[in-house]
Amino acid sequence: MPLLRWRLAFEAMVELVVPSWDRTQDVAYRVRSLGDAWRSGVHLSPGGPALSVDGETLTYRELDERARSIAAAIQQIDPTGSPVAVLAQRSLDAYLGVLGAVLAGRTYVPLHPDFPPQRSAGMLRRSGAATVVVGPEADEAAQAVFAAVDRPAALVFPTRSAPGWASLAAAGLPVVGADLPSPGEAQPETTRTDSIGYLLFTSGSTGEPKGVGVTQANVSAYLTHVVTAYGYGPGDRCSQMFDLTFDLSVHDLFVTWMSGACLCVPSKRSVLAPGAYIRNEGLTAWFSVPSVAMVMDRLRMLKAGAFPGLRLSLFCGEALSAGLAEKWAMASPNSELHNLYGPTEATIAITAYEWAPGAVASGVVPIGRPFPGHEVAVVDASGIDVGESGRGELCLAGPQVTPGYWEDAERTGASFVELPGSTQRWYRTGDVVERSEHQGLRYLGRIDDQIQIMGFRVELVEIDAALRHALGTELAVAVPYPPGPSAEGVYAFAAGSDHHGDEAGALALCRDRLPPYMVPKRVFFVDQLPLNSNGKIDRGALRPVLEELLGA
Amino acid sequence: MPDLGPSVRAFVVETLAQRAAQLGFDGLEFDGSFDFFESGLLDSLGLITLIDAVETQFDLEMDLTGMDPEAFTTVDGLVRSLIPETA
Repeated sequence: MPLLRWRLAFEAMVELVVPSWDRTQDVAYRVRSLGDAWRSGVHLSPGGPALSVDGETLTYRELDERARSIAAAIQQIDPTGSPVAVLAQRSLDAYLGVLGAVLAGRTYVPLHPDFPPQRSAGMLRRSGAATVVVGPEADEAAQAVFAAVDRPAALVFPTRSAPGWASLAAAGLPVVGADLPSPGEAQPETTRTDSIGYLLFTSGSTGEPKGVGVTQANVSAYLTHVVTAYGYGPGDRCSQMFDLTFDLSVHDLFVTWMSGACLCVPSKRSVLAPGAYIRNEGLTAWFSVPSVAMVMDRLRMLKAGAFPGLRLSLFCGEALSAGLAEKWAMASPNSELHNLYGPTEATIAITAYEWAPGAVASGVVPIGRPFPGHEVAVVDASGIDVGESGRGELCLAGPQVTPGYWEDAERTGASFVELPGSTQRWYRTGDVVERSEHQGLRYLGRIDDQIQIMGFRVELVEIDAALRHALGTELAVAVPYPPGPSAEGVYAFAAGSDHHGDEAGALALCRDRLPPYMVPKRVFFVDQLPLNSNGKIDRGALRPVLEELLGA
Repeated sequence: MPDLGPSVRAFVVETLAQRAAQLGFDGLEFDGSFDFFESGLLDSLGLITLIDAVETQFDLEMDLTGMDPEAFTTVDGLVRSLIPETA
């Protein structure tokens, strides 16, 4: 039993090596920060593999030395303690950037090289980051971002000399490349449990991404539960499927590292359909959105017994269909399968359901019960619990619920509330669920226009805004396909545009503002759009029109 | 069995060119090393749609079980993966 074995190992070293480490009655061990989680792995498995990326494997000791050297650079460049942005993707630099920021005691802010530069520049500005770590794969993106942002930042290049453009972008601020300080120069980080460990931006309904800051205490509660509950330990080889801008990546990195396991990073292309990668890398623990499994299934990669090495499979981020779960389980005959659920605002995931063959006949797999220490309420519009049999909006309370939206008291006040008859602080998820006696919670949909595209959380209103800007008309609207809360993409309808018929031009403008997964697949120009009784465009009425157009 | 390679390649290139025109991607050259994923022209679902179209058009059923997408996101790579005997 790996769970018992590693629990004993943890307990043996717990008080010896990590001063802030603590034991309580109901958990065997716990960490207080992301830095603690990293040090746990270093002590559990110093000579073991910590990271497999780009054909290279680094041990905990090697990665620790290099990360502490980045941490020292960050501390020397900016002693004020500002957040650190990481503009890198699936490279050694990306992981050195995150770890360097964490070990320097800073909030890390992931930026995506494939996102429009304007969007990343906005995130950089709003985060207040004074230092940016740049990977070689992001050189082009970095130059575009710095051209769009009005103030310079200090730059760190973890694995190479600074490229020529750096001194221009930094405009007199420090640029550190080949001349990194030694690991010994890093000062031990001082992080308070209420300090922000990472800051992410999600799609916002006003057309601007909104920031969610997650505290060290929030993420520590998650890690402490998950590492124990799923028996992670040294010897595990864990997938790193999620991009760093997606909060589920925090599970990948820090669950793996807290348990002394190896983080296995598939390349950007391998991520598309990682069947061969799972086998070639000898993965034991899997975590992805269901869409990845769906793509693998459509490419006929989910053959029975295809992945005998997997012992654990977790899915999260969007609805998992019963049929897909069944296929994944057939392909991974030695693996447990759990369906996780959780919004970024409540830290990575907060409920789980253990799937068993035949337990879910059809439809979607339930999202189960909350993690220990958390409470759920299912409420109506006035915040009153609907009781055991009703359906309503899911509200969450407990140690993983974050302080709220970054520098946005108004939105925070609207979503983080007190409920009638309770003194706790609750997060209103906007997700509609019902309770079931044996399976916990079942996910039904959204109360608003938020959807998931391949697991990415998207406000349709934000796509509408970009479309309307691109087409120069208010008569444009995005419609997800297939219908429902989990879509493969969106299509656009437009009427009365000055640019009528210029599909290519409209889509090019959308690409300047939206990340790739939010850009409509097509624009259909129509004579008029259906309106509802309030005179607003009736998105729902366009769904059958779209299905007909797509020949579904 | 006739060598399907050239006709599959022509079909793939034509499909990519149509998609590029629709999306407003300018200045792409669809030679053998053109990477339709790196260029942002197709995402994972675009790739599935393309492979479905090739299968339907040429009445093939591909086995990609052991394949890593590293090998099939270019025109040459895809044609080689779909029709191994042309490799």
